[in-house]
Amino acid sequence: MAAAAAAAPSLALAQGAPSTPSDVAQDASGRPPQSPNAPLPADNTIGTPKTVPNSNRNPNPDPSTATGNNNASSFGFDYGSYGRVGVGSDLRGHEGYGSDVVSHGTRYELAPYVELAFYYTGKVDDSPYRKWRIVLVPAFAGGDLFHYTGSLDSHFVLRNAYAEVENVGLDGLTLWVGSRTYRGDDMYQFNYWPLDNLNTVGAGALFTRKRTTAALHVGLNRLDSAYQYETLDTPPRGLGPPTSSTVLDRPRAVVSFKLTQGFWREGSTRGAKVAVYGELHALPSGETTDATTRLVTPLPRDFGWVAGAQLSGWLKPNVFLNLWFRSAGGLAAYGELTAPTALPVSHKVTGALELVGALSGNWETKYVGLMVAAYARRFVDAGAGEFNPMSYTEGIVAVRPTVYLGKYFHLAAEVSFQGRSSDGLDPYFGRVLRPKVFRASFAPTVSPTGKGSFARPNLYLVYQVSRINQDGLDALFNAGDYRALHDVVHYAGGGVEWWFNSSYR
Amino acid sequence: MTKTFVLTSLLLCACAPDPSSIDSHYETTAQTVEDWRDEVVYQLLVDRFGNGDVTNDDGVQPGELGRFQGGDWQGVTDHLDYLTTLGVTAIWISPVVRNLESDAGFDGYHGYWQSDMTRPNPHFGDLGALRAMVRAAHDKGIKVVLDLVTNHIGQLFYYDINGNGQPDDTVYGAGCGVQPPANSQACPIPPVITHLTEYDPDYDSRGVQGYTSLGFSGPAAVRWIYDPAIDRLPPLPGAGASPDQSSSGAQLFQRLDWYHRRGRITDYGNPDQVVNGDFPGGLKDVATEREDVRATMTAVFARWIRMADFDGFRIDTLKHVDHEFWQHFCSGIRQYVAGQAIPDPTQLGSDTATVPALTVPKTHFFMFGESFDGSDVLNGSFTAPNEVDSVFHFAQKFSVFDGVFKNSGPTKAIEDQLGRVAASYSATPQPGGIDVAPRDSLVNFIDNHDVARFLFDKPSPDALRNALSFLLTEQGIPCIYYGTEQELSGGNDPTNREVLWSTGYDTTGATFKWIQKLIAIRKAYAPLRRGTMAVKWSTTHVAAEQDAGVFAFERSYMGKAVLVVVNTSDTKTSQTSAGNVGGAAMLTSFAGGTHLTEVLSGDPTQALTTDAGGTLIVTLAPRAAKIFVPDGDVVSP
Repeated sequence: MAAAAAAAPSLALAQGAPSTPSDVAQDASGRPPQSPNAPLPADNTIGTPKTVPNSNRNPNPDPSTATGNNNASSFGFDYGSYGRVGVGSDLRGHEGYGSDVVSHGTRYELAPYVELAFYYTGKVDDSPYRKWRIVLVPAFAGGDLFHYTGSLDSHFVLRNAYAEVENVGLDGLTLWVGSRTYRGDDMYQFNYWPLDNLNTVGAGALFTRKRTTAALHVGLNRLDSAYQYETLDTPPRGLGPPTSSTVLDRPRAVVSFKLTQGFWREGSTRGAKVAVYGELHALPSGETTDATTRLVTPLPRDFGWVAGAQLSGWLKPNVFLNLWFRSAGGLAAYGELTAPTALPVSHKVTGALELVGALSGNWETKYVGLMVAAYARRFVDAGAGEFNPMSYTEGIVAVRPTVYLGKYFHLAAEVSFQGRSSDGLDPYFGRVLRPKVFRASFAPTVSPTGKGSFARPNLYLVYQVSRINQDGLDALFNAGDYRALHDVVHYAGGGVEWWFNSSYR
Repeated sequence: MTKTFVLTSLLLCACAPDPSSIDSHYETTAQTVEDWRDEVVYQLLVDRFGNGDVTNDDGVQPGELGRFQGGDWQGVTDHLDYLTTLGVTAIWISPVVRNLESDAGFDGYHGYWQSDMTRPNPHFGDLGALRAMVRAAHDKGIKVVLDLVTNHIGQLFYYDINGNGQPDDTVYGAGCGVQPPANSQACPIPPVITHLTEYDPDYDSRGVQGYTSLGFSGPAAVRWIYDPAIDRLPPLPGAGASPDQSSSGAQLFQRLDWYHRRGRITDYGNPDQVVNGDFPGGLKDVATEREDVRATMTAVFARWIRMADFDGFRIDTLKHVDHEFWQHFCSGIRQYVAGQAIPDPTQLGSDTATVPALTVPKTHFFMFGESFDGSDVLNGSFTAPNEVDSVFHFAQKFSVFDGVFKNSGPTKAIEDQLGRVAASYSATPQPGGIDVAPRDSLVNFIDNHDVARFLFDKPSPDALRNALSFLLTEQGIPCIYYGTEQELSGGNDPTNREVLWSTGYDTTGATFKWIQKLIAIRKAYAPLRRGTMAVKWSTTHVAAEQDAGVFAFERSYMGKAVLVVVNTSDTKTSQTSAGNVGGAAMLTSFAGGTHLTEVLSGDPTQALTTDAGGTLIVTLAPRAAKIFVPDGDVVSP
């Protein structure tokens, strides 16, 4: 009866949302999915592994740590990991399943995900602070646990594979080259990075002087999509099977920059920081060719931009508040790993827009902890029509109090409310859907590393109940799906989450 | 924090459009149609008129006209100005409901293979796009007529003639033993044993019979096909069709007894087959004689009026449905548009559900049907009391536009056709209808999506413009098939269904300008819209005679008259006089000495004055047309 923690069936309207690689749900032609109601791939958490505590969660005013890896600071080989593994039931004889109606919902029922971080750090000229480092992070995503599915297949991804050098040539300067996940602070409760969250192959520089940090990065990606890359069969030069010719190859260039200014006094646990962030996206022109008809469709060059800011303050470790605002336009509104699914006739997405306002905070005492998070997000698709169902407004708010029953045993509860409203009519129901979910969770937890919202590992049992309105059921589940019949969704299970020496910052 | 969140949310929400304007509170509007004879209808296939949203171009195969081409409702919205420039005032759009995607190598781009009568076809957009299109059209004064089918559904079930539980392309069974077309081939009784397809077997009045190697095996099992990839599923509205193919518990259109199940029409001369047989292509014939079918079909399409604010219905395959159905359907729709709620059997589980009444009732909601037949008597029969307001003037298409304008037959055929109109179509407006008698509001057309374009058979733009001159000045309601204005020349289906965007929506071509001018004149002169039609000259001459190819008529309304003269000859300059064969000059209704301005050319030198007896000799070059208006009645363009 027990079942592995299943991924939430993401809202179809989330397609095109700039959040996760799973939003790149499209066919090989680059056109949108045939059925706009088709749920996204099961795991919408690919590419969004949990990060380690970072500067806002465990703010460390020591400038030296801001220049490089927070974790693998020793020399030689080091190891780290992030992971979550869970199992759950809906108490009706089925696998436990998620029921989020927003792009980034709560996380107890997230699908399993495990990554292994390997580091090797060397000295430069035997200097204790001039270093070079190789970071390799393989990960297994998609919830494919052999002991649950009986299948040996795994979704293996390489989340980080890069090298960096620190303080070589200029104190405070870090240079890196490679493939990496490149992002800032997150909203833990939603597994969401509301300001900056890039997956890139490229190079960058980070320069820190006192409480000021500037980061610049240039990267490329070329999605496996006819929007960016296409080959066609061509006759062989001699005998044999057809060969292929590349007819479209247009990587997207992404430039990001971030300036962070910290404010704190030496020796004080209190502090604040302000960050401004921006991205520029550029996609060259090209042509896509229908494999059967050989009809050529021009794809004009296109652009995108992101502008956002973060304001953070903390009173002591793990007592903080973050505020974010992000705006993105054009290509960038879809995210760097998403080919737009609804191209207008111009085949440019100039009109696409994303606006996000978000906050997260944590407060802890000796006996209790309290996490809060909320975001509101507006996504405007570039597709045709005044009332485009691919455009929507969504929001979620969640509060998670925790009571510490001694050092190791904790009781966490979470209450959340989420909702979304589309600009257009659902193509199946012919009405505007306004899905809403009210959710309450209760999770007795064991944390061998002690108290704290971010103490890991966490071994927990969880019972969660969600109340979904009819629009939510209509949005989430297709006709005939047994889940469409239940407006009250239970999730009872258990899980573990850990992180140590993880590779992100 | 909460305040910040709320404020941010409000800020973001303020950027969003108000979807309630297209949602459940969507309201119909009172599009004012005083007299449908004032309208000029433009028929368009949505898939072919304009592609405004490439995101719904699923399965499009450009250039393969039997497949989807990508047009959509947004494309119509985008090119409404093209239509207003042309001057048309109403559009007849192809069916909007969800269809079987493809069958036998062809796509359901045309919309006549319905599988779900309750939802919009996603190839053309969503309900929001449809509503936006209708709203935008209304804003420009363009009325929108919905094409619908009540006779059949798409090819959604098959006849398991050999009982093997799968649809076979070739089996032995009882059939007529002929290949289509077999319009004049009577089916032998009893039918012969022949090769058939289980998708579309020949008509058998007993119902399609099973047949095995040992002989007949009784009525063939009828089985729904489940193929979601192409929307081949038991149709909607309906419920309960089970995978084990038992029909017990099935409701509405998933009940097999809602279909005649007698196989494909092979003899169009046999009324039983015409009404009860499947439409060729395996389109399954609905048992429209059932009261529950009638009520459901009426509710289904009444809902569409409310959902998208349509101004009229164009109804397919009129002659394949029993008269009693039309009396029920048309009366029900007229009640509905008048503001009454009507029963809604599609709301399963409720005996009292209704299609909510229109909050803004419609007046003069126009229902006209397609009876694809050359018989005025048959076509006119559907204008009997409580049936449709009008029908397509198919008989005229054959006898006049093909017989005279395309093939240079004698113009006497036009006069004869007018006589048949007077005798065959109802002279009484339908109660609750458009307040115009069917015989005065026939929908005239030169060609449409089911026949080859005029220029295919007669590759002469001059001849086409000549025919258009008659179409836009004769009595009735003119209907122009999309692309005519661009001189498209495709042959029979599907080559007559070209994509219009290949023309660049050019508004400078000679035929576009010609139609534009004729419509402007029609709008300017009420007699050309509403006037009675009196023939002033027709002839049997088609050769070298003085009046060969000439036809003239007057349209009179409220004391004013307009004279129209056309020369259908390709080669000869003719006149409204037959002096060389002993005839006289044309006698008009105008008093002697009436000075007439020729408004089509606007050329003052074309003006004429009737002689003392009111006669007039009008001379026309080959394929020319002239429209004369008394000087005092001329209006400025």
